[in-house]
Amino acid sequence: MKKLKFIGNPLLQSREKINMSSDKKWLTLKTTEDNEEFVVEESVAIMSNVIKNMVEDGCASSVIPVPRVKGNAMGKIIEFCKKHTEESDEKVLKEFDAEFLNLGPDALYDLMVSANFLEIKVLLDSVTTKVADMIKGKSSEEIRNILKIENDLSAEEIEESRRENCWTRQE
Amino acid sequence: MSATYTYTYSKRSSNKTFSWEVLNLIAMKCDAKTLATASCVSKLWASSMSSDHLWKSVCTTHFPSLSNLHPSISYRRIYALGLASAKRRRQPPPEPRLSIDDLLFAVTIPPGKSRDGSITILKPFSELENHPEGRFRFDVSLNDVVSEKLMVDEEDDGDMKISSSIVMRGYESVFRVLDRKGKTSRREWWFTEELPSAGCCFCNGASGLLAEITLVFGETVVVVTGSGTEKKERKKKVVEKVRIGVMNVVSTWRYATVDDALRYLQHFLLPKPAAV
Repeated sequence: MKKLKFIGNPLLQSREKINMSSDKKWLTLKTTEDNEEFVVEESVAIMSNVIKNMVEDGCASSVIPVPRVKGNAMGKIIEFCKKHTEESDEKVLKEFDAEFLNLGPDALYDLMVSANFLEIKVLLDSVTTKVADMIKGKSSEEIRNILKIENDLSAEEIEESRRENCWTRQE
Repeated sequence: MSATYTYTYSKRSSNKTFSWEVLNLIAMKCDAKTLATASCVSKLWASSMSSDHLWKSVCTTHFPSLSNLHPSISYRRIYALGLASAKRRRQPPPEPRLSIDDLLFAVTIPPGKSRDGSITILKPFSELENHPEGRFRFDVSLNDVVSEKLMVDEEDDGDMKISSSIVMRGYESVFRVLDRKGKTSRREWWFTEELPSAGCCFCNGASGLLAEITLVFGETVVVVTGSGTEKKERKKKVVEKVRIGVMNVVSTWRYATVDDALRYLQHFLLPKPAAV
């Protein structure tokens, strides 16, 4: 086995112990906001359309800079993509997603924004569905509480939207 | 190998800005009711959730015929209209202003070739036998009304003409049901008339209702007339009941409900409501 030399990142160093087969490609994703690096298999990374295009166009060097995505979110995203590339059983994936998305609104928000930016359709679908389910059937006040949104509507605007939407109350 | 990252996040201010893009993605997963409620959350949500393209698919699915009103009005408004209109169509008619207890049934059976004197029955509907499912069909037993059996046969009475009315208690008003010759058959003789339109919606045209008076037979007796060589034996049917019914004849022939019949009759029996 080739002994690979890694400098700097402790995460990378631990890979020396792993038996790496030579036909698996690895990429390094670096979040430029907080300079965290993540080593992932190419097959996992290309769940992101953005990264996939970069790789196919040949402009992906060994380290791919990823703006706008925080390290925390990146970690979560990789965890998600990994599971979805490894597992093909629909039922298992569904259970995983349900558990995975058991997050607070801030985390969900970050995931959504990041998944949107990285164009990871499966993740985006799951998160948006989860949020849509969270607000379904709730009153506007409850939605604000759940997602921690400030009400910036003026009194007239509130009155007007009440009138426009009064049919929601008459079922 | 998988390293699970626990998500830790610093305290954020509650002024998180959902970008329009993100909101749009969530909105596309929401049903109409959720979209409408979500429009009341904040300014950004209001503009995002009211976006016409979101409401377009909802509208064209639920109310395709109304969707042509766009772009004179927004799809969101069309949806609200469609919902209100569907609700109105489902609304049942108001309670009748007439009660069955206010009405009396009158029917006259004329004299026949072998029968003198007509028979007139006048009885409150409340004393008549009602249809088991509460439809407008009432029977009066002749035993309760006349002392002698009423007997008919085709030869003597085949061209009989029956008259019937519905009378308002206190003789305040009367609705003529029919004056007619009828059809005969072995088991029953029935007399029918199409009822006129109530005049509240149409100038001409049928009401879709049919009034029906039926003579229901019981036993058959043999009557002997004459003597000696002129002796004649005739089979006569005894009328057991007289029945009045109002039928709905538009798509299926069924007795109308009592309420429907009352709503019809009130046009003729109650004074017209004063013009506002």
